[in-house]
Amino acid sequence: MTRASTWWLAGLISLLGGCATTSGGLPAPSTPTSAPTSGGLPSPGGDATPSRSGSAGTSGAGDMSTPSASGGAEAGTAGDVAGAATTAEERRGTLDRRLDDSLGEFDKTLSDEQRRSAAERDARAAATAGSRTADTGKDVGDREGDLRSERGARGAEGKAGNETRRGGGDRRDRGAVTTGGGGGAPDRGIPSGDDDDIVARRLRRAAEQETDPELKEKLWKEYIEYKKGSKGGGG
Amino acid sequence: MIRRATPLLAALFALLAGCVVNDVRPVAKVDAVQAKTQIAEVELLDVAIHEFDPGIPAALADDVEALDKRRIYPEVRKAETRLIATRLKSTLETSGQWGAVRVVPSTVRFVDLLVTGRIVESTGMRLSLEITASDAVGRNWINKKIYSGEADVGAYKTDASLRARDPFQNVYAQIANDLLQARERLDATQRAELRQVARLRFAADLAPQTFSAYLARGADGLTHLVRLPAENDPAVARIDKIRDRDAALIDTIDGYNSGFSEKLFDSYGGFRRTSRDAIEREERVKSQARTRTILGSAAVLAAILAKANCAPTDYACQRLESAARTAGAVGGVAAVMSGIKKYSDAKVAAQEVKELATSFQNEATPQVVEVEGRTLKLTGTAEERYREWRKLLAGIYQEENARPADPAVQP
Repeated sequence: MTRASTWWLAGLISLLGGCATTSGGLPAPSTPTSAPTSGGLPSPGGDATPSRSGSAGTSGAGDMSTPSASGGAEAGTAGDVAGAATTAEERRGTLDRRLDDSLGEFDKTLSDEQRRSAAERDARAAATAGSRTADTGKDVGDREGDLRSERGARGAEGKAGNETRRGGGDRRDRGAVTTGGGGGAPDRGIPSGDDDDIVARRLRRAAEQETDPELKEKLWKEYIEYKKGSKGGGG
Repeated sequence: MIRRATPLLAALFALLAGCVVNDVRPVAKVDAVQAKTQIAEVELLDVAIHEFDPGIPAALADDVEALDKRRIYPEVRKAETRLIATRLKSTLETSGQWGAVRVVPSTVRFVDLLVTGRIVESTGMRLSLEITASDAVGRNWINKKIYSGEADVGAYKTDASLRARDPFQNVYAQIANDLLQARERLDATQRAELRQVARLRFAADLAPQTFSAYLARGADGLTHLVRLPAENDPAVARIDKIRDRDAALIDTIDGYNSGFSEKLFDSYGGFRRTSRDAIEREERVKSQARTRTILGSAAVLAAILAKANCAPTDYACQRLESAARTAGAVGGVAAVMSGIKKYSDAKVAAQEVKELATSFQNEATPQVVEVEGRTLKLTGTAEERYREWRKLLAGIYQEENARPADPAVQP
């Protein structure tokens, strides 16, 4: 009890002594001495916190037409993230981890979107092909307009773009996809492709490359019809 | 006199018959030049195609009638901003001359080559695009050049032929070939520098403190490489990590656009084909109407105003002349009437074009809303992330460059 009353007394005396630190509701005494600035308590380790007032963001920026020159101001906020660490090295490590975490979260967003897009594409391809079985969906990625399914699948593994520079990994050597076709033309009255014009050539190639038998059949039919039409002088 | 009247009448009848030749000339095919050899990775330029400007004149934006007259259907145009950009993308991609080719929103800037376009005219019959292309260094490859072409009717023949070759493939191929020509003017060093500048511009946008000094604007107004950062620089590694995500983001959005294009492929092709037929019919009928009205009026006037050339006693000649006048007047009136009828047929055909557009619009609009919504959502999320990454990179830069505390100042 005596201890408690001692604390009480000490508190009272300190208050009466005008030891106001602005945090209290009482008006600050007009004594000009020792008036603390905002916040009252000095920041722990405040000396070690580097100034983030933005001298960094300006160097050399004038050379470029970079839209954001506010790096200095932003740095202050980022610095708060690492405020708990004591050394610059530790703080940098913390920020690096924050960056990696943020990238990882973004990867998740992207892979979810890519997965959704791939599913839609497969569903569309299945609908186009009519009665396709579930596993035929993967063929579609090889056709034009379905270029991203491979990337989508890769993205879904959370490795969005890790392997390469921008888009490079998914680049296909389009130079190889030129004219001419290999085999694949079934021998049932299909005219030779010697005198094919560009439309016929494309049709023929599409038919040759198609793996779905039903679609392949349709493409050959279109090819034959087109050839008949063009020979008939339909122009 | 008879001799004189006969050719006149013959010409009149021939013209009145509405003998308007409707020639569908075959369009000579232009193909994009294909790469014959493998292009070195360091020189393979990535291309970003911005979604096109729909090209709706601001002054007419609210005037539906005026837009209809010009065959501008705003919702169709909105869909075409992506559809046409995607066709150009396919052409560039299949040429094998370029690296990654993507259709992206206009916010994407830091790529090797940026292509923007405005739709000047787009109907099933004719396509006209205004194209601009510039590279990361700031060179203008193509400056607001107009590319136009008539539809290749052969491509409209069947669904498969429509899928095999776009009716306006010539337009896309010309653009692709011009881009290629502009690229060929750059030597290997310039191409490699271009890629480095694109990479560093991206880096400088995210971390100006670290990367701005690597680039400088020259007296020619172009951005040049001052020096390269060390490849083992951790700052470069961080930027590369972000750039990979940026690439994945661009791919995802491009995937949306490809999906959108694929979904509307058949209906857009069908719309173009049928609208082409309707436009052709409308134009043919209009032309016939014009001809008949003009010549009919001329025949009537000629019948009335033509001088009498027969001698007063030459009754046979007079009878013939009178018959010719009557025939001319009757034929002329009939031709004018027929012209008026043709004008009304043209109106019907124009209405048909509008109905086709409305029908396609109804199908396309929900897809446009969806793809726009998804793109906005994803780019919004990305913007937030980029802001965060900028802050973190600035913070890391601060920590890396913080001067160690001077022990002498310590209390």
